[in-house]
Amino acid sequence: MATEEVQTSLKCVHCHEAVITPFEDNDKNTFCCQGCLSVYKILNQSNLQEFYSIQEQTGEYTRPLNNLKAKDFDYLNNEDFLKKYAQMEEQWSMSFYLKGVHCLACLWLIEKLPELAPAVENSRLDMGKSLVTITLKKGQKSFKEAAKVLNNLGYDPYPISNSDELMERQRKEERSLLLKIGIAGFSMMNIMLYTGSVYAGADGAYMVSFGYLSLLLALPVVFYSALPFYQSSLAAIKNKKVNIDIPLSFAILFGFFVSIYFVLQHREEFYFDSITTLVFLILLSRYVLKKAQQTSLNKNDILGIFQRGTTLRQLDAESERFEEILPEQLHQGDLIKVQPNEVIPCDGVIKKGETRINLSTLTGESEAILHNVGSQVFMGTVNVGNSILIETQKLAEQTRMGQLLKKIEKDNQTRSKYSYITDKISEYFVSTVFLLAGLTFSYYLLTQGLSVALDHTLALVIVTCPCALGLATPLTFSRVMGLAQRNGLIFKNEEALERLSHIEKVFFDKTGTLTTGNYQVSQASLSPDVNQEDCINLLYSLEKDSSHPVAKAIVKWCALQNLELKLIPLADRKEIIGRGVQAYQEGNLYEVTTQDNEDGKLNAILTKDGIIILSLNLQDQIREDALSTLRSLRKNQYETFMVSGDKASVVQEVSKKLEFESDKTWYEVSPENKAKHVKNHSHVLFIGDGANDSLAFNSAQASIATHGSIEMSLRISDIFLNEDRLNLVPYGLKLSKLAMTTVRTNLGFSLFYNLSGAALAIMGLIGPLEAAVLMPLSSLTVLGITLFNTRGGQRGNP
Amino acid sequence: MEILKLLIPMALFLGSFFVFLFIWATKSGQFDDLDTPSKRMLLDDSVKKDNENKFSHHERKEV
Repeated sequence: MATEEVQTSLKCVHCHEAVITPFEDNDKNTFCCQGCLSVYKILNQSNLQEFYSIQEQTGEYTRPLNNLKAKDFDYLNNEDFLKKYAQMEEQWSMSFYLKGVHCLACLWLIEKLPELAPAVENSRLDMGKSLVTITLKKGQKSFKEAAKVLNNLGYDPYPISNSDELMERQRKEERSLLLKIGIAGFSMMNIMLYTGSVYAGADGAYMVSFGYLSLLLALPVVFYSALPFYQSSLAAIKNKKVNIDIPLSFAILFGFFVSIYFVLQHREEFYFDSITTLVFLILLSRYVLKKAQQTSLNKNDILGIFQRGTTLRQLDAESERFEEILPEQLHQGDLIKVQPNEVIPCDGVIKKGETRINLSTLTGESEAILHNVGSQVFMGTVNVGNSILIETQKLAEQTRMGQLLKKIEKDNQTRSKYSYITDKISEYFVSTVFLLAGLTFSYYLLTQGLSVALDHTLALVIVTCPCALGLATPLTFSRVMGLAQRNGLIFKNEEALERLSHIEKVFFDKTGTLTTGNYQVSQASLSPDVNQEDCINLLYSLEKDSSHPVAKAIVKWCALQNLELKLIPLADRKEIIGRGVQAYQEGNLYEVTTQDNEDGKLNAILTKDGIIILSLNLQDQIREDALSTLRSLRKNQYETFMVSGDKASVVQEVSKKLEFESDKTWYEVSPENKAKHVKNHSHVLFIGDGANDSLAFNSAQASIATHGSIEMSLRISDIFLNEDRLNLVPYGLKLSKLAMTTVRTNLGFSLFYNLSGAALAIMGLIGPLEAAVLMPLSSLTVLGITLFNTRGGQRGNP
Repeated sequence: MEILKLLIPMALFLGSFFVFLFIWATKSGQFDDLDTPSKRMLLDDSVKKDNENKFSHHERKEV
């Protein structure tokens, strides 16, 4: 029987994913899941079919909605809750974080909320932050209906507290930076007007008044716009460190006060224009860099990742009544109900029920483990079996996950003993400039007096302004990071780029990285005395409603058998945890179970009254682009390694297929030993599964996470693959090289430029005026180099 | 050159006016979200579209 990829032409009407088991509505439209079907119905009933024409026009489709779950949102009507979460100015408004908003059609649909929920007056979406702000009509107070509609549409709304400090602070910072830039820009351009007139020959009373006017205009720049430079310099000095803001602050303040002195003396030269231009350009480049980083790292609340969603708390011990609450409203000792496929929101003990729990976020094991009454459960793990009742023991930061995240956070802060090229150079640079300035000033002061000494020193300070470091480097990083992001590669920060550029060896995890992590049937053998069609129909009927990965693989395989699949009526169907599915049909007991065969591979078998009638070989499938990615890495002189916790036979087979050398493949490796293997080498890039490989991530020089939530992955790794394509790895390596080449070119150029400028200034061959003209010239040159090197040409062809 | 005595204050006044507008716009949050508006403008207002259709229909009748 065939083992090809799904080649079905059937596509879900709602999300355009390939359809495996079709769901149909009355008009014979096909859907991939019940969720998509119900959203389609809602849209049709409300005359919002335009959603689909927008999808078609933009070519961007929404995601499939498999796990659509009805929720009550009763807690939204709670008075205390409203006080904390909603805002009231004439009308009530509240912000929600939405999962899965990413395309134009989503934007359209969400802002059409008033048509679906009558109590809503207005809904505005911020796509960058995935936040929707809902305003209710006058006199309306309940957000319940609106939240329910959003949930039914598949967006899973999560209320955001109105006093969310981090977000508020971030917003304030951003606004104040923008104000500083605007004011610096205004002053800069106006000052240029007057300075230009003076250069052009304005003299006498005009020159004097222009000087005072410029001084006036420069005041807000020096004492407001440039504040961040002073603050960061002071912080650096306090910590006995040197940073690029120190020479910048010095240049700004020195230039400002010397210019005041010159203006008071009614001299022709004043340099307010140079100072303000400097402040404006550098603030602008920092703003751009900040924006480039922010889109990926919006949510700072790590624990929230595991607590997003609501919990059912038991109201009283006897009855089976529950109320829906937010995890933060939980108290120690509360009894809560965790349903299948929900994340456990606290540490606790199971009081009722038996289930399998996937511990992969905590331990890295992909196999779900059986838990009984009395078993300890942990926050962040996923319940994949039945409903269970848990007694809450520890919450939020006290949980094991909370502690782990804290440790990872701490590791991250102390990890970088590696010194970055920009830091190193700025250290030398700063001390050299100050030394030279001091020497120049004292020499000329002693030989030719204060005025000349100020002239020469000012010329030196202006001409050595660190444009490449302050301006071109952040711009290069932000351009490259933006380019990467558009192609699905998210860098945590500019350090990550620099780390990546030094990589020589690439370590791969197997499961979920080189392979898809999903099972696929690779071989099937049917007992000769059974009708194939009946057998497959039976198998399909047994497994159709199961969410187990093996069951999913089997259903997918059934759908590929070129048969008209029929559901066979079954009696007493039971899913036995840790074993499989069983049911009776015409008095015979049919059972699907899994077992390991001789060479360590997984087998699924269908038995009739204990006799095997069908056996299926299951295999984790290798990613399509794995081999081409590895080949391209090897061609570019990177050494490739594979480390896996899986069994020898499985790993060796994958290793052979992917052309790994046998001494560069390790199997049955524990997470601790993975980290050891990494530590034995230098310049290692580790590519693995989000949370599972955090130990190895921390020992490697750079790390890429392929799976999991962005927020979580960027906590522990440097880079996140936002698209499911492995060939983004060589692309990322190429980009990092490009970024560092550009940075080095710029540094080289400005070093040469600054050295020659400094020499001329010290000798007195150029005055502050010439220096003020040369300074922006060098800035323009480095900007030109940056823009040329990082132009969008590499886009779309990673 | 006497005119400068009038022009410079005027220029400064005009400039300050726009700085003031900029400060107001920033403080009221107009630059908080730079992503969504660029996409929002691509969407047609379906209600308006319906009205337009009615209008053109009406026009045709008159002709």
